[in-house]
Amino acid sequence: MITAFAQKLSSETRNSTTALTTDADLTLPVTSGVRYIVRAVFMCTSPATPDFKFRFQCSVTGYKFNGRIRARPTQNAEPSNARPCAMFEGNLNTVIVLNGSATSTHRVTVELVGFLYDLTANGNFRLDWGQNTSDPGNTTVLAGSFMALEEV
Amino acid sequence: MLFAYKAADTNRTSTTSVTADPDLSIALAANTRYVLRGCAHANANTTPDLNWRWRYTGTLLTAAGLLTYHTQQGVIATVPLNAGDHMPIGPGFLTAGAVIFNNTTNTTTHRALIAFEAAIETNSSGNIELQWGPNASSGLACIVRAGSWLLADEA
Repeated sequence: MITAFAQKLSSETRNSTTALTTDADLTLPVTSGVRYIVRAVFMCTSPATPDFKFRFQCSVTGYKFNGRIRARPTQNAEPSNARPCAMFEGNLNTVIVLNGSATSTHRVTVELVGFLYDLTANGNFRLDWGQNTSDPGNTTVLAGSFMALEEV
Repeated sequence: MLFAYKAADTNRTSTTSVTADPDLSIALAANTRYVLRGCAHANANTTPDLNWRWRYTGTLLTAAGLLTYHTQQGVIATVPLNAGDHMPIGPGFLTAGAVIFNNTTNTTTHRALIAFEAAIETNSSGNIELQWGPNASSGLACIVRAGSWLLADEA
């Protein structure tokens, strides 16, 4: 059963910065000693120049996460690097760049599923994102994106 | 909700038997619907390689879902991955004829992942479990790693 849930009710836009900062909505508290199955799906758009970069992260020192990420673009002709897949064992420190796969009109859907455990303190689980190259074009995480935690 | 995970690694050597993991196994009731999710990590020396699959030991009325197969920790690969990437799960996929994946891209430092999500309706009772073993018998270990997990939600 889902025990914590967050969803973007409106889209969030950033431009002219490469800062990797936490999404305004997609962050949830986690509790010391509790284990979670995490599922998150977000959709993003970005002009080709800045590209979109992101990282899921937990604020608790020494946490562990075992799972994977898949990303799929809506473009019919997909760039060769448009469908990144990643597996994580231990932590989520990798920053992923969606090179050329998101455009202003074609979005990318990214899904995270995994097991979060060894939480020795309270903290949060969150999505951090930003532009890979600073550009005045709008990089956006779309309304409807969500994050869910299930205690196990 | 039923949940299992590996608190410690399991090593196997000098056998080619593909058998149930001691931790990643959940007993399911007959004539019941479940949503299943699982994610296992492993690595192995190049010589033995690794055989593995998700398997239900009873019989199923229906099954639908998706299996995901990644290789090499930390690598953001283009797809299709050489090990297969995404594959559909249909009736029979999890039961007796379930494909045993031979992962030839493992090394002691490069990991592999086999994850799945499926909705099933059981016919007879049985266990949903990860089955695995070395592809070639040798003195070198195949390891399914701590943190691998399996969840069954009655639907």
